[in-house]
Amino acid sequence: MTAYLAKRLLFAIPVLIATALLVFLALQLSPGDPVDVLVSPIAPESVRQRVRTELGLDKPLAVQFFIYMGNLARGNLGTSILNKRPVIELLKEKLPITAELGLAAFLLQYIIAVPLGAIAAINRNSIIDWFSMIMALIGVSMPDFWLGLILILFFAVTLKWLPPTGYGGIDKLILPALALGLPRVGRIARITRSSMLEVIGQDYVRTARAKGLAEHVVVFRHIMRNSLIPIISLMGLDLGYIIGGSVVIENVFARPGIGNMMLQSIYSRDFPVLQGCMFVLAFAIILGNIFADLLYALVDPRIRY
Amino acid sequence: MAETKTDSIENDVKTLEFPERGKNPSLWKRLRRSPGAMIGLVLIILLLLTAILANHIAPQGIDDQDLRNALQPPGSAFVLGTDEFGRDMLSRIIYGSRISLEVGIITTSVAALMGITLGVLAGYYGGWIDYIVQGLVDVSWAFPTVLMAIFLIAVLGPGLVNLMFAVGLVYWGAFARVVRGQVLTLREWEFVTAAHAIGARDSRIILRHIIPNLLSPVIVMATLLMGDAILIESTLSFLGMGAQPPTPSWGSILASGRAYLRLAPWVTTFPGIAIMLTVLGFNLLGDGLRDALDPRLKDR
Repeated sequence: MTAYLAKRLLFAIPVLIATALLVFLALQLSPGDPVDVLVSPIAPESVRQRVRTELGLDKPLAVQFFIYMGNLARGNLGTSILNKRPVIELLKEKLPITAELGLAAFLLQYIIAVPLGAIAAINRNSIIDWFSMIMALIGVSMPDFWLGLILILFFAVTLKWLPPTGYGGIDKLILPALALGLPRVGRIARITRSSMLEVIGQDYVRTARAKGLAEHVVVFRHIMRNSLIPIISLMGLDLGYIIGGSVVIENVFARPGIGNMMLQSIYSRDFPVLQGCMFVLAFAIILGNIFADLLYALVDPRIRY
Repeated sequence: MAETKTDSIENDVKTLEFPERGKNPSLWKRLRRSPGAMIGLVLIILLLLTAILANHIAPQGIDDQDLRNALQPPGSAFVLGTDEFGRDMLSRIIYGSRISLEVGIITTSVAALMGITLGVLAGYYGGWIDYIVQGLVDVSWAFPTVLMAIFLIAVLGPGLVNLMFAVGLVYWGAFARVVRGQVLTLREWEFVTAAHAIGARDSRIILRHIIPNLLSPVIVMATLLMGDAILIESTLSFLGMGAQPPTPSWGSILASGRAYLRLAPWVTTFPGIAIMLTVLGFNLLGDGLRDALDPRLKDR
């Protein structure tokens, strides 16, 4: 297991380098000039040139890339063009805000979805089964940012139960976590359901019933435990969804996290910040997938790496 | 929402097999048995009619401002109310259907054209082409689709045309993977061997024998992607990266409506419902088509 983990982590390095290279090159191709952000458009060329030298933008592309990679290896993600602060510092500040939202949405999804899917599987064609199907359909068809706006409208503006936007405190976390988590609940429930249906048909389930085990023992010990295995691999994929969604949801709820910072960096063409955000998010996705694979092996003794 | 859905689309489509002709009832007959697919079809036909007849059915023009009637609630004068410039919401949403449809069609075409071309080449020739295509797919899939699209817009600059290109670039990998898998199996079929044996050139085999057999998985995929593309367009336009005002994209109407959430909730509510019904239509029809093309997949 340790050897496997080491191998996976080692393989993550070239992926990260490739990500860094692609993000870097793509931004070089971008038509905008970061100098425009800092300098008034009517400033003389000499001023523009001085700013360019200060930022190291006058060096050849390859040199810029190696400087960038060298700094990256030392944990230096550059400095924000806009507010002159180190990008790594900004990311450290914003990461907990995004992680909190992501974790809350993640937990919320599975706490609702897995029981819903289980009940749907055990009572096929019941109201709950239909409900989970309709929820799955609507969930994938609904814009998550719109759900966020509707939640604000209903719970903050009309009922005044919760604050509409902002960060800090559990009351400000509930609505964004719902907006981020709810759209996927139906889909995860459906996957839980089909995974359970597959297990229900297995011989060992029939054996368990045949030897007279109580139904709840059969359901929890034999069916549930085995059908949860595919759900774990789904969690790895889900992480990407949550990270992508958080960019939009943070914007809707004015949460000052990484997603919001990334959008701001796009609007203001603050490329070092944008690069840093992309890099950290890629890192999170890779680590999350490795973690999901490890968890998979831990839960299912049949899997050996 | 969007991203992980395509993975599942892929899994669904990958296992498609070719129904034997003649043995099964026609596609339409099978499709008609699925209530979901029929609801989806009705929704899409309504969308098409709305988009085509927008000039005739919209009570007002796209950008007819009337500041004296700003932020009027829904009522007899304005069925869905008015926005901050006094523009009729119903008319804006009706015209918005054109943008959604246009974005869906162009994006899906870009993705399909790229994906099918590269997927066929990768599957048919294998070797280094295959490695490169698979590598590109892996890279483009490393990021969640929304994030990738946002990043591409950051590179290309905002605007509807760039958006369609960016979203197409995000989704081509989905087509390429499915098509590649299909071609790998098709290549081994007897009719391809037979075509080789009578001396057909590669180009002829690909165009006459391989591509026509890719049609059903591609149609399913394209239908499902139409919904995804419309959803992503609305998201990016909402973030100010796609359609710019006064273009009545549903996403950008939502973006301007959020400032008036308290005063005029209808500006935020109705475009969202329009997006949801449209995407729902494509998802329902896509699922129905998939089940109809391969009945074994039903209930999965």
